[in-house]
Amino acid sequence: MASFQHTADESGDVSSSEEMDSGSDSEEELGEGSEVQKAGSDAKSGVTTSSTTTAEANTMKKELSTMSFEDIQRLRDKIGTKTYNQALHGSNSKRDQNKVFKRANKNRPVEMSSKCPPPRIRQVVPIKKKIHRDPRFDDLSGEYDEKIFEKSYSFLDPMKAREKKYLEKQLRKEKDEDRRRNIQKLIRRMEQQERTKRQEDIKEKALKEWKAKEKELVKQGKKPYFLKKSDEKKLVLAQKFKELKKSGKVEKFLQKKRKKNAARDRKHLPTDS
Amino acid sequence: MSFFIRNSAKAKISSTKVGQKRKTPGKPGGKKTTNGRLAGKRRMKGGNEEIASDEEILSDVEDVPEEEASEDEEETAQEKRLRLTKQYLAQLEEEEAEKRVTDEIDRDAISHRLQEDLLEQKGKLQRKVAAQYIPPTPADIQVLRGHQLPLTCLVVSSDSKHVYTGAKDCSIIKWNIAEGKKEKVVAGGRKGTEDKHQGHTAHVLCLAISSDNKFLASGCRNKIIHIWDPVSLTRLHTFTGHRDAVAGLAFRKGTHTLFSGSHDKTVKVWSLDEMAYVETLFGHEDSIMALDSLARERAVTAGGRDRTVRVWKIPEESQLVFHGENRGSIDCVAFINEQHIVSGDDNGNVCVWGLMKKKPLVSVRGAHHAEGSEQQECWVSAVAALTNSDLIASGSSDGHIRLWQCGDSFKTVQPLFSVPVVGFVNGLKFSSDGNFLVAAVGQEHRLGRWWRLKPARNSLVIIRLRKTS
Repeated sequence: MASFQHTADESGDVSSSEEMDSGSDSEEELGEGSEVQKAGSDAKSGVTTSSTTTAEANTMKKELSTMSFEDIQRLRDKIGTKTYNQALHGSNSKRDQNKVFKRANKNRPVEMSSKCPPPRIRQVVPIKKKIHRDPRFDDLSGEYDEKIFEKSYSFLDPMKAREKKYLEKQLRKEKDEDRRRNIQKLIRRMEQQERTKRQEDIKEKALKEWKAKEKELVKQGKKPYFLKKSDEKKLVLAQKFKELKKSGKVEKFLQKKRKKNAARDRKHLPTDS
Repeated sequence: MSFFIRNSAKAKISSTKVGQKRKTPGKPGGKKTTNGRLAGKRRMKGGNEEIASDEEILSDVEDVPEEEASEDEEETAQEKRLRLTKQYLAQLEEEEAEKRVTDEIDRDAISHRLQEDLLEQKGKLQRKVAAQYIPPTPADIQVLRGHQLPLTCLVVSSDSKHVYTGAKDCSIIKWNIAEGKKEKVVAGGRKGTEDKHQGHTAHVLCLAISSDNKFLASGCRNKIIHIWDPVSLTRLHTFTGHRDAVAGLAFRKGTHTLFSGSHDKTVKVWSLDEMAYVETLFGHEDSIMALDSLARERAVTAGGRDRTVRVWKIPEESQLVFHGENRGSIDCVAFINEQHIVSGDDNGNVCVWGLMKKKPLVSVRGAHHAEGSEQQECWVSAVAALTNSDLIASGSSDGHIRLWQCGDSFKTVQPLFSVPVVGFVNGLKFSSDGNFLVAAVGQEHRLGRWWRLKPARNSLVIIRLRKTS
């Protein structure tokens, strides 16, 4: 309070002209305030009590000493006695504002500052953030196993067959060249897929047989033998032959094979360069 | 065994790290760290004589700027508590000295009182009185009529002689309990006569009376708070500043500090010694429905649709947030003792909270059920608690005021008995000695007219509670 006395003496020495200036200053200061004269309202939400140094506090005291009592009262009503006293005596409450409240354990209630106004727009229903997962790289999808994958999605095969039939029907009806080409492309793709699937099936069958036999022999004591690529091809060929025999298309297959080989050999003949 | 050794080794290592900043340990509730602060101060002042070690310097570095700034100008919350405690001790000693003839002051008496006060502060003082009460007979229930429209709020004076009620007809009535009739009426005015009329011109939503019976405060839908002299019911002052209806008022016991909660989501603190506004507290995300306060510089508010109960710590400028369940609105709240709160929401649940836990300690679901085929749950519109005891009461529109007994350290709640009351119970208060319970009953809910119960009467109900002894 001694400091306050000091400034009061100071202002006593000030000449009348200076008083006029500071008087107008204070009027300007209150110009804004007088528009919002509701006592006790924080017009600008979240009036920050800035950390005032003693110099600022002194200037504030000087200004206040020139204001009329009514104006001071109005100011106190507007900002509240707590912030008024803090501003006057220059304490830093800014440090308190940035204080982070940490609770002792997670079962305690959350503690937060009571001086920050909450956001105007309030989330009434808690909106959940959508988490995007890529099943290819996500651990939740598990490891990829071809056999399990095929088994679980085997229900698609009849659907694919149906779609192919539908496309063929469409092709018969379609007259437009462009669209015909597209449909033909699609049909060709589907046929290719079926073909590769058939070949894979044959390969699998052959290898399965061989593995089953090997297992039996290993159990009986023979050393395990691992197939070479060429051995695999031989097995596959044998299996294919078996299948062809079942369906009765051996001759046709052999004819095609001979033609292909002939064409290949012809390529390797010497040419007149 | 090895587990213990490992832990102690860890503790040893962490304590002897040189050069690491030691932060002041955070204690629950942030109390009683005065020792740490004062010790730091002493070290600073006596620094000339002894050379402080690295650890001490570094541990003080954090504290220094705060100490220097706050030393002369303002006392922190801890220093304020210390000063108040010293004052209180001096006061106690005086009182005890007066009582005793000899010069020796009885230390035991003081220590006993201090112990009781400590228990009260900690919230552990729980007078087990609930079991002594017996259900009231119809002769114990007194119905006093006087308001034209539904009553919304009520307060009991600290000497338990008068009850003040406010109603939707904008009037405030002072009742004498012993005689059972009206003493004074502050009539409500018509809308538009705010300048001339002495009373309220909009629904009176809340009332509060100071513990020394010096001030009565009333808040209404017109965003104003009137301060009255309780004896003569003359208006002393009016506080403006809220931006929406004032829905909750409470005085801090033993002081003239008034807390007000409003539908504009703010809590304002007013000082009636200076008749001035002190500060505003922000945090609620929806209208505040109710407010209560005990002797500590704290207030508890019920947040309505934001489903939270918040305890405001005024000197620390912080709030504790307690979240209720995901649906519904918390409509009423009351302090049982300094550490426990009871709240009621519109799903018919009555919850007891402890300040140390973020979830309710007990939750009585479906406390009030409507009788009849609908089986709809009634909104709990009022709760009350006998301070520092284990008796709580809840009121709703289902035709009963239910009294409950809280178990040991508020871990359970048992129903005691119920008092038949027809209508919406918009206010409930116990007298300070626990001899009677007053209820403000109306045909409509205090905040709106969703229902109107025709068979109900707008009245003040005084229920005399008798004990077995």
